[in-house]
Amino acid sequence: MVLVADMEAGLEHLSWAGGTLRHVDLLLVVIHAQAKILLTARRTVALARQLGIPEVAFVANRIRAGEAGDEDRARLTAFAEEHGGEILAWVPEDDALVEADRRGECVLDHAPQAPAVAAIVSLADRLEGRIGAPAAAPERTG
Amino acid sequence: MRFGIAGKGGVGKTTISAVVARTLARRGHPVIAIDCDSDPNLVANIGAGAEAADAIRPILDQSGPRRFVPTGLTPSQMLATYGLRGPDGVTLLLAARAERAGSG
Repeated sequence: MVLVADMEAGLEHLSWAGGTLRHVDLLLVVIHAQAKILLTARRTVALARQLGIPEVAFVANRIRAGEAGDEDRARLTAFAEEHGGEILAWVPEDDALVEADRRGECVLDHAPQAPAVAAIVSLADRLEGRIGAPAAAPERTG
Repeated sequence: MRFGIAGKGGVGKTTISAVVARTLARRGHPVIAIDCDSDPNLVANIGAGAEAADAIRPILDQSGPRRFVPTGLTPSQMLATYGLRGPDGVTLLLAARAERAGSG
């Protein structure tokens, strides 16, 4: 059994009511190369460690193309090293995500071949390595 | 294995949660995806449709003067009562939905 908990923006789930997020095995903190986002991430990591969450890792999102992307990667790599968490996926800036949002569709249905989708699927691969094989035969649901 | 996805608003948490949940479900893992945002959009974002997003019943009961989380249910009763089957067989849960002004 896998549980994926999409948390509320900000820190309340970590700091309030005893930390509703304390029961996760791995906390993924989504980051961009932007000061205010990294500030929230810094606070999130500190609270997660106080709560005793066993592992914290990062997902680097909206990585720009070209040289700007090199800048993003360097900044986020330094951030992750400083905070003792691995970056499990690099998700490129991708208009397919914006367009899926605009249509109210899942990007997996709207643009399954999009580069950002491939990056998030590779994240799922990394996570699957921590889960092991499905317990029962796969149930085909389409 | 329980994964939490956190970060500042607008950073991409929900899209990442949706794609990860569906990808793992496609590979045969039983997956529960829970939206813990009081302004929820995971159910819509995962591709379950706007109707499902309105229909799903939040676990946090806010119908009375005091909000509460129901107790005394086994996990399977909890899933049967509140779970909604989404795309690729992901079981969707909604922690709460802010519905009444001043009720928080």
